[in-house]
Amino acid sequence: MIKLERVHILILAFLFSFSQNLHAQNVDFKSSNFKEDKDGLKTALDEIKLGDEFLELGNQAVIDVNDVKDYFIRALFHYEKAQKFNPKNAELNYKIGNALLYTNRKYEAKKYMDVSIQLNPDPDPMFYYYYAQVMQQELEYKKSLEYIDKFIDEAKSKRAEEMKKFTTKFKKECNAAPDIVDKPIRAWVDNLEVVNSTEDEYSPCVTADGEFLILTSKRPNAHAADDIGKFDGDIYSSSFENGAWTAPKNLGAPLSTDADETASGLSYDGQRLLLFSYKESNANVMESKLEGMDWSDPALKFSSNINSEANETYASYEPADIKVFYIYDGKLNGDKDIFFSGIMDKSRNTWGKGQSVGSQVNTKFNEGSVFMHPDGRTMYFSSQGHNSIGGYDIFKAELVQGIWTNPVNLGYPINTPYDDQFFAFTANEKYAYIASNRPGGKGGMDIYQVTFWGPEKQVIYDSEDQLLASQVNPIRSTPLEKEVAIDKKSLTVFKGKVIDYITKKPIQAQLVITDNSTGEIISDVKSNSATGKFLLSLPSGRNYGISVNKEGYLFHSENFNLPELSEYNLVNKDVEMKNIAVGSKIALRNVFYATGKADLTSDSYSELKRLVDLLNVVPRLKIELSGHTDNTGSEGLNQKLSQERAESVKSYLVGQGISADRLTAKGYGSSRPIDSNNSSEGRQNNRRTEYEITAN
Amino acid sequence: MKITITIIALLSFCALNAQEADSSLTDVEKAFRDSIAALNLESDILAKSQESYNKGIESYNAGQFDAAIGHFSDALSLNPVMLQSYYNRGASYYAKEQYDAAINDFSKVLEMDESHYNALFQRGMCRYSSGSMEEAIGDFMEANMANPGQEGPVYQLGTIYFLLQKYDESITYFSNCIKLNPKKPDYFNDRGSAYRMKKDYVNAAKDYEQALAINDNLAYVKNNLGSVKKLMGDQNAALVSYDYATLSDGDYYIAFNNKGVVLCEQGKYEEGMKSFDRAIAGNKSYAISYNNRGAAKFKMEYYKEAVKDFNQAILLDPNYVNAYVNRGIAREMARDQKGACSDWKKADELGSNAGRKFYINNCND
Repeated sequence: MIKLERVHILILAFLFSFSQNLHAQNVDFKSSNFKEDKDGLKTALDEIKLGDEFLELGNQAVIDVNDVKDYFIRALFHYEKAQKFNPKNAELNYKIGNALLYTNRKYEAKKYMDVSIQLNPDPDPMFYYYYAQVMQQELEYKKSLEYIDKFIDEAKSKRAEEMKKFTTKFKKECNAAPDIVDKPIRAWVDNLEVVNSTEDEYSPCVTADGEFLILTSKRPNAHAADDIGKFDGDIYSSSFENGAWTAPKNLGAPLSTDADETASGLSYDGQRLLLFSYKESNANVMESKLEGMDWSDPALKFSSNINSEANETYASYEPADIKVFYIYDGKLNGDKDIFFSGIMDKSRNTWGKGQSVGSQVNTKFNEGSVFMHPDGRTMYFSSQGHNSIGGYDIFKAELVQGIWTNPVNLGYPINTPYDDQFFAFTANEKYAYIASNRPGGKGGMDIYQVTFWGPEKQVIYDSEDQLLASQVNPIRSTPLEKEVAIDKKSLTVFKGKVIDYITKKPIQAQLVITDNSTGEIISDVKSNSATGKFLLSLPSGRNYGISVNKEGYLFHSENFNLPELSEYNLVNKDVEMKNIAVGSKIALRNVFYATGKADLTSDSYSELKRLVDLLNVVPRLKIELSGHTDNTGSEGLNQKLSQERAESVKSYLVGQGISADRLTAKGYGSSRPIDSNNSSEGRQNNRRTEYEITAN
Repeated sequence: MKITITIIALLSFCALNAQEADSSLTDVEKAFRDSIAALNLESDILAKSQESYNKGIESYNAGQFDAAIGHFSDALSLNPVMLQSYYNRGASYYAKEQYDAAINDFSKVLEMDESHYNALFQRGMCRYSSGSMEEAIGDFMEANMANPGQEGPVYQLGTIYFLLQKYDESITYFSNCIKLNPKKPDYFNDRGSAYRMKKDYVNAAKDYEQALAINDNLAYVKNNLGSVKKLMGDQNAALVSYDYATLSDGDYYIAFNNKGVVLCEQGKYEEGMKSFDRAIAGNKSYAISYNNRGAAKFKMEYYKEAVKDFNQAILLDPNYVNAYVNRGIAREMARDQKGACSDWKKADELGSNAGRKFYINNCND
């Protein structure tokens, strides 16, 4: 594996070399290269020399784990002037990259380091140490380890030996980082753009309700800039209004003066502020109180037994308000550690001697800031030690039975390979504010808002089953009652009477009515004997046969329709029956003669015509026509007149086509009375013409 | 009563005409004539009633239920004692899901014939459909007594007890159905589901398998078997059954949906999404699969795409509470906290505990 990594680095070196040959060539700061601008060359070399002095101070401070102050910034101030004169010098690019790595512009280092290796593929072994840091910033941990190994292999200088503790720590970081980076915590980290500037913003402090923020910024202010154009730190505030933070406002004197103030800890209620500033290169923790709308003049927080020639800087209240935690750089080895002091006499502001929070928290590297959670048991702090994934990271430790637990890295993306510091938490633990010099900000160190998502919210999947068959095939079978046959019974009242055809007298006869379509006998009744009437109901809309039967009468049969009517209907049907019984004597009451004569009068023809019909209907019928008188007058005349009248009727019938041999005419005079001759009515009845059926 | 008044009125009119037409009739003859006229009128009205009734059946069979109701009503206006018209009108109302009106008509039938099996059964169906379960049980019990050999009332009793979560009773009635007709897979499926609800997954699986032994082409039974296998902890067997269901019916979106859920639970979100795609292809109105696809997209961190699917689920079902919860979660991750809170509030209003918890914990800043 080691062999492979070495091969990889050799290939990289070859590529750098190849690239250089094609595209770039190192330009040394020597007169032969700048014949036209020797003054410029001299100035550049002077700047490099000045820069080198600061770079050396800075690098030594790093090795000593001391405050690098502004050494690297100042080194850059000079180097960048020389760089403008000659940007193609490998060594200067390397030095700029080196310096940048220890400033809040460290994300710019790669650009210069890449140029340097292109211009000089065979750099000083220290180059690989810094390039390993560049790769770490790019989250290229594997490459980072390859470069740090190359540095260890090739660097033989005293400095390399001095940096051993850093290389060991660095390899530990690179080995551990992937596990942290690959499992990002559930939070967003957003640049709080509204409060940031191109200069440094840092040390955010927030009230417990999360609605008031105090920060420190080195943006241009009303004070004079220093010799390299940098401004002193001032204290600013911002409020959370209508769902957004307001633009920061410089709190002015007495908090912001022309000294370099830094706000470090805000009481949970926002009424007191811990801050520090350097006076004669010495920093002590100060406190200011909010009186109405104004902050009081900052006063030393601690009694003199704590304030020292060393620096007491970033401090935090704790909820019981009996301790103050702060960063102290006064230990023998000079690195910054977290200390705390407890109040001994509040009225006299007497504090106990400051002491370390312990080796579980403090490392041989720098601890940079501290924040006590309102629960009083949880400490958030930044450190270059522990399992940082690069630069300062933010950690959490808890006080359990008086001992701080092993710090836990707050994880990516709160922590990055860059410097991630400070931690101001709101009481609901949803938001925190940090400062970081990671890339993508507005410039330098910026304030970031951390929004914690809380426990993972599980999305809900829904399944569905059709547990019941009726869900799939709903039962909608509804059998209907069946259609019905339309049974419309329209009845017709069928009435009439049965009478003798000739005499019109009522007859009691048998009437049988048959439905011709079915042959069904619908009715079988007798007509009334006195009136000959019958009355019955028949279904309409059919064809019927009616047969009328009476002994001695010709059988009567006929066919008739009863029309379909929706309402009441009455059909009248009279039946005339023809008497054909031998011996029957029928008086022709409607046959009339001229008085005393045998001449038929015209009103006789109607009845005689019916007799003609009867004889035509029954051809075998033979009759005797007889004339009769009453007993008035002589019998001889009566006899003669009756004979003549019988003959007269016979003649008429013959004249109507009836064969004479079927007719016999005979006068009986008054010999056969049928009534009394003693009354006119009786005599009227006795005066008559009869026929008697003699054969049929 | 109505028909009597009509007849009397018309009879008077006809009698008057008859008098004018034939004044020679004797009183007896007049009485006879009038009685015939009355009969004719009654017959005519009955015939018209029958005609309307038959037209009603014709309309019903053509699916024209409004027209059918009109015809049956006409028949009843002419003949208010025609049981068949009440029954068929009740059936028409039932077809239109106008359950109260249908129940009234079936009740009228039962006033005339208290053991009318079909009226009892159909009234029970109406009451079941309108959620009056206890009354429906009464009807089905009476129908069962009126005609003990019929499977319908027994099956409905099993179904109602299932819906009332009285699974022991439900199993009893479904078992009775199986005795009456052991060749019907529906009865095994439904009894299996009752076992399932009792968490008796072994017997549930047996019944589902028996149903499939009778008819192996029932996709919904295969799906149910898959879900029981899942409940038994055998996700792979569940996937096999869901696949088997979709082989029976390539558009059976429910099985595709359930398969997708199992795949997502196995962390196979890509495959899960494909299965949800198939479910949606089978039923473009299936809100559940839009919700689930949104959930899969969320797990793949496609938050905005997930929100689109949740939007569609809510569009299809505005009261889909889990879709609101899920959309809130996705919106939060898409940095739309206001929208997320609005969704969780809505979910809370719809009765979601998760929605309530998320709203309280995240929306009171």
